[in-house]
Amino acid sequence: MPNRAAPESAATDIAERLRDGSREALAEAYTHWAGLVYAIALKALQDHHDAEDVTQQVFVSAWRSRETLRIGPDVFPGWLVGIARHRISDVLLGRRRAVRDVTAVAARLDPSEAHPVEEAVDGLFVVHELHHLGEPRGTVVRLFVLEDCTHEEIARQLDMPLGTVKSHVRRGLSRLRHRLEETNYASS
Amino acid sequence: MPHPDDEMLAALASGEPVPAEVTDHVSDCPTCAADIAAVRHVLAVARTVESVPSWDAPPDGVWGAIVAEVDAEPAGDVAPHRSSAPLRTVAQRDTSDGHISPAGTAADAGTAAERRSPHGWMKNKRLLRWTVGAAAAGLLVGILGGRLVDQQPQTGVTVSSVALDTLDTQQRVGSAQVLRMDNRLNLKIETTPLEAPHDEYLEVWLINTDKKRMVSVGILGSGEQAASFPIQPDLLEQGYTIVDISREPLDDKPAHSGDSLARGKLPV
Repeated sequence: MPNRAAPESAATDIAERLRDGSREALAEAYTHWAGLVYAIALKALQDHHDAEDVTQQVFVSAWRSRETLRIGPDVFPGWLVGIARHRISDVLLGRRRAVRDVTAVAARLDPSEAHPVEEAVDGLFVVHELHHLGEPRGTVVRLFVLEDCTHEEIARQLDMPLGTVKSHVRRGLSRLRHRLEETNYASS
Repeated sequence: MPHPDDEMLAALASGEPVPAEVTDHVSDCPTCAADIAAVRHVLAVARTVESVPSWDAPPDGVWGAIVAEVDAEPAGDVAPHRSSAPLRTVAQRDTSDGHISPAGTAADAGTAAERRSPHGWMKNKRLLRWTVGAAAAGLLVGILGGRLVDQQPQTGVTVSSVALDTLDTQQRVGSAQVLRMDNRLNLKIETTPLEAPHDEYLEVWLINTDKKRMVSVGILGSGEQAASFPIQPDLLEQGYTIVDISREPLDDKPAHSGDSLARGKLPV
C-alpha cells in the first residue's frame, strides 16, 4: 500500500540521515509522506497540476534545507508540511497576483480573518497523524476525536480501564498538538 | 502553583474534570490559556475534515522531477560553502560614487567594507533622507539602480524563494525570490504594504546563517509592495540566505537596528 507513514523511530532515523545528506533517506521520506503532502496541496489548491508542482518543490526544498532540520520524535512530518504551507502560500499569492486582486491578498493576510485554507491543511495533517499514533493509543484517540465518543464509551467499547483511556487521550492530544506546531517552524 | 503539565492541559481542553487549583491557575495564565487553545484547535480542525483522503502518492513523474532537480546540484556539495574572507558585521553601503546604491552594496559586498567610512556614511544619510522623502512624494523613478529591474518584464528563473513572516507571530507578510537573469541574481521582495514612521525607513538585509555577518541589500519604500535588488551571485553560497526587513531610524548608525519586521530563510 503506498505511502504508509513510518513509525516514529523510523521517522527520526530518516530525518537524521536526510540531514546528513543521504539521498536514500530523501527517497524514503517521499515514500512515506509524499501522499500526505500531495493530499494537503490538493485540498488547498484544488488543482492536480499545482498540487504535483508543490509536492515536487516541497521535497526539493526539504533536500536543500536539510541542514535546518531539527531532530526529535514529533518533528519530521510537521517540518515537511510546514514547507508545504510556504509553497502553497506562494501558489495562492501568485494566483491572486495573476488576477490583480490586491485587496484579496490583504484580506487573506489579515490575522483577524478566518483562514479556511490553513484550517484545511491543519485538519488533514491532524487526521493523518491520528492514524499514526501507534496502537492502542491511536484507536482510543480516533474514537474520542473523530467519533466523538466519551471516555466511558471508549472504555466499554475497548474493554479498557477508564484511567487508561483518559491517559491515552491526554497523551495523544498533547502529541498531536506538538506535531501540528512543528508545521509552523519550517523556514523555507 | 507552577504551570500544569501538557497532559493536564490536554485533559482540561478535552473536557475532563480537573482539580480546582488547575482551573484557577489557567484562568489567570496567558501561557496555559494559549496551550489549551492549541489543543482545542487540534480537536476543532480534525473535526472539520469531512472525508479522509487516500494519501496516495502523486503520479510517478513527480519523483522523477525531484531526482532531476537534486541531481542538477553540484556533487558533494553537502556542507554549505562559506567564504574564508569574513565580511563586516555592519551593513556595507557603496559610497564611492556619492549615490545611494543598494545595488552596489550587496553586489560589492567583499570590497565595500574597506571603502565605508563614517564620513561617507554621513553623506549617505543626507542623500538617504532625500531619497526617502522623494519616495514618499512619489518622485522616485529609477534612482535606485536596483529598481530598474522592475521596469522590465520579469523573465528570470527562480533560484530560491521563501515566505517572509513576522518574527513574533509568524504571520506571513510577503515573500522573497532570488531570480537569475543572464548570470545576474536579483532579490525580489513582495510584501503587503509595510509602513515606516516618518523618521524611519525600511531596509532589506541578507543575514548570514552564522548570524554574525550581514549585508544591506537596499531600501524598501514605505508602503512599497514590490522591489528588486541585484545581489552578488556568490552571497547565497557564502551563507547569506536569511532575508530580513528591518525598520531603521534615520540616525548615524549603519548597522542593523535590531528592529526586524519580517524574515525568511532562503533554501539554497
